Amino acid sequence: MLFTKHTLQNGLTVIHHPDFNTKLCVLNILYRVGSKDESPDKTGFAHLFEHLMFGGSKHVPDFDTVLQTAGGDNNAFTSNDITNYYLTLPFNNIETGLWLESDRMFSLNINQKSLDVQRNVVIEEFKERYLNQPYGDTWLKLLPLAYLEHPYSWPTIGREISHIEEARLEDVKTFFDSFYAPNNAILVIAGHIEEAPALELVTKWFGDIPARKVNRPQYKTEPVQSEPRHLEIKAPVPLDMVLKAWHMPGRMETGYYETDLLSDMLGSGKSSRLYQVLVKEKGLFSEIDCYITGDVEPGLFIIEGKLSKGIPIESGDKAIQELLQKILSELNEEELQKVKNKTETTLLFNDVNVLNRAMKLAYCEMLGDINLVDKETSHYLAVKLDDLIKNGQKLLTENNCSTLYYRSA
Amino acid sequence: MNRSIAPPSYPIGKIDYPAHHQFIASGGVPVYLVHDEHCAVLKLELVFNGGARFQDQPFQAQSTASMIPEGTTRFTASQIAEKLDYYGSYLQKRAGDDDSSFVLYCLPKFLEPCLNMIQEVLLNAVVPDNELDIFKKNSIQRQKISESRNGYLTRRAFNELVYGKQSIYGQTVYQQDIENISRETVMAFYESQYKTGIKYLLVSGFVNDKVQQQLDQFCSGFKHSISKLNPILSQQSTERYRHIQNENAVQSTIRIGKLIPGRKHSDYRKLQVMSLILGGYFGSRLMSSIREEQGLTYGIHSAVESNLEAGAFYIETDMNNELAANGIEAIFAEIQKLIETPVEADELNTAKNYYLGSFLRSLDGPFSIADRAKIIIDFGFESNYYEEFLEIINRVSALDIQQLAQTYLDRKDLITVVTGKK
Repeated sequence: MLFTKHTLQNGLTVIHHPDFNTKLCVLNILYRVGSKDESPDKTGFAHLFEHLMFGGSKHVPDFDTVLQTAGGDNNAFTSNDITNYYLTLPFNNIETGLWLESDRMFSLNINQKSLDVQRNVVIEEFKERYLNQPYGDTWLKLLPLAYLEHPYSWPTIGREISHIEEARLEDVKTFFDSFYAPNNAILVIAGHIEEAPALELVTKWFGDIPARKVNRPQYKTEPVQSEPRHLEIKAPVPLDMVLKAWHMPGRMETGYYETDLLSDMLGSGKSSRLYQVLVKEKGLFSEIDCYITGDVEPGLFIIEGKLSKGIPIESGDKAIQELLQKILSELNEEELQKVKNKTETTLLFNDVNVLNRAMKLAYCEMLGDINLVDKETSHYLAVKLDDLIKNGQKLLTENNCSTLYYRSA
Repeated sequence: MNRSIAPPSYPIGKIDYPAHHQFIASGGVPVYLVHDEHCAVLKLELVFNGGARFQDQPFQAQSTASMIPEGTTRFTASQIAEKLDYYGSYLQKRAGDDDSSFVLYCLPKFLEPCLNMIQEVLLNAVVPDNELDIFKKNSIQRQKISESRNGYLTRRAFNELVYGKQSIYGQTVYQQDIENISRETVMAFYESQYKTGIKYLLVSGFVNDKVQQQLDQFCSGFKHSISKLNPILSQQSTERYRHIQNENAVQSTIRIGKLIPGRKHSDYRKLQVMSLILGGYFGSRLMSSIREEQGLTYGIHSAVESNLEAGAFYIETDMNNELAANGIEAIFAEIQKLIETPVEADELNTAKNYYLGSFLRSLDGPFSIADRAKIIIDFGFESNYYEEFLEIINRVSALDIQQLAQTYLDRKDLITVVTGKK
């Protein structure tokens, strides 16, 4: 992938990626702040803050109207690790985007009215996605079971609604000052624009924003889990569900790629092991899935299955455990090649549109190695079967596992 | 830097829709191409006359599309899945109301073995009983989960009321429909709608000469399927309000809307602009008023959709049960404003620019362009359909929007469905 990287004097990282096949320009700004940077008694702030970023800034009372009038669109997301803002515009209007983003980085207008409204919106989001959906509260329950110390123990929406209800203007302002600094951000400008004008425009709009001191908390290390953990929930859901979560290596740690490929071997696609045995052969589950959270810090390896009617959760859980041991002793080169092929396809498909490429550049830079945008595929292809199995055997033990039974009441 | 002065911004003067190409394969199947030399992957959509409009009983089209790759005279379902997975490909099966398709995503280097497997399943499917049993059982369980969701229940009732139960566009699936599917019904549909041939192929991404030859070779084994389309009569119900009780709901899902003419009607593109102003983007009236000012909801949007022969306009949102009644009135108040007062020039201008900008976004990458091409193919539009677009959008006036609102958004014609706890 073609790109260049620069750093402005205020510490802002600027990445340019050209693509003249599109008539669009993309501006992606990643702030190095996520829910892991919140204090345990004020959770949900990073995400609440993402909403406040649309409440207007010093010279732009209404972010969206200005952008939309220029034919642009935007959105944002918050994860455990980052908050990412992106916008796309017809290429000749990219300067409007730079103006908007720089103004809110420079002097966001945080006021009581905007806070009141966005607090309500976020509380509604909390209810709509986490309380009013069957199984919606799964992560609210699972994370504190799996993490005792590390800030991954709450979801990005927050640990509880009261934290959002109690958010004060002062807290929110402190949050902005602590994290929304040019020296804590990565800007990607991509699409229908040459490097020289791109750099010139970015410097023009962002160059004078002063660097600020970033107050990042020291994350508590999660103690090594030494015995099985269990939790049961009863709720009016249509089917019983079992969810098992194992601690796994962080994004840049040894074993990450092995673990990711193992999750595909177990649970991705109809030919995967779990589906073939537990859904098709034995009919114990109606659906089963295996995936990783993929967080920067040590994350979770998840197996999640909805049981067939009449099958007790305990039997399903036991079948998963037995099958894991059996599978680990049987995995072969052909299966590994299969998930490598799948991964190669997926990674290439993700690169098809320019917005995805811009986000990926920012994310890899945040991880500390921008060259991962090209190298990642080869990391996956280099995984050896032996390592993958050893890693799996170490990881997938009951002592390293948190198990959630979701019973249909 | 003086940030109080906004940088200049320019209208979108021209839209270059990168035309798709076409050739007729040896067996007569039309092949449409959207080639992008920079793209490393490809997407192949095989379209069949296998939509629900051709079925004799509910769920027949969907179950057939799902079951075709579940076993042939030579391979078991597991072997088929194993092969397609091995080549890193993804095969999606979709049965809509008007047509059905198999969509293959793969790397060019693995196209040939993937095509061989697809040919095998299309020509030699056997629909094994045990596979059908598993499929039915799991479909019923998934259906139960869907039926516990507010959103699903609301959309199901809405479609039944707006299109009418006699129209295929108004029909949805019930658990009993899944029970009623037998191997014979699936085989019959497979024989009549798939084995008879392919409607067309739409391929996008890396489609060089070699890929085109491989596709031509593949198509030579199939006939071009042309099915007679019996007209679909959609008729909106006279019922105007329906409440569906869901004891477990914290929030209510609300959907308000009506039957409209589909994409072939000259009002359709203008209705898209009207809907956009009302609730189609973040700066829309409903988002500004119901979410940003009143904080009643996390999200609210309006849209128009079009099947081949009819469409619908709708507004959808979720809000707390106890707020739903007020929320509905607040929505109707916004509709009334659109009917009574012409849109201000600034607002219309923003909406138009946003609309054209989103059209540009929908052309980002060959797969998105292929989705656009499918509309031209399915509706039989001229190839300049999208170039006309700019002209039509630029011409839409405040008066047009007001007249459309008066014609299509009269409260006495709008259907409201609410699912939640009363």
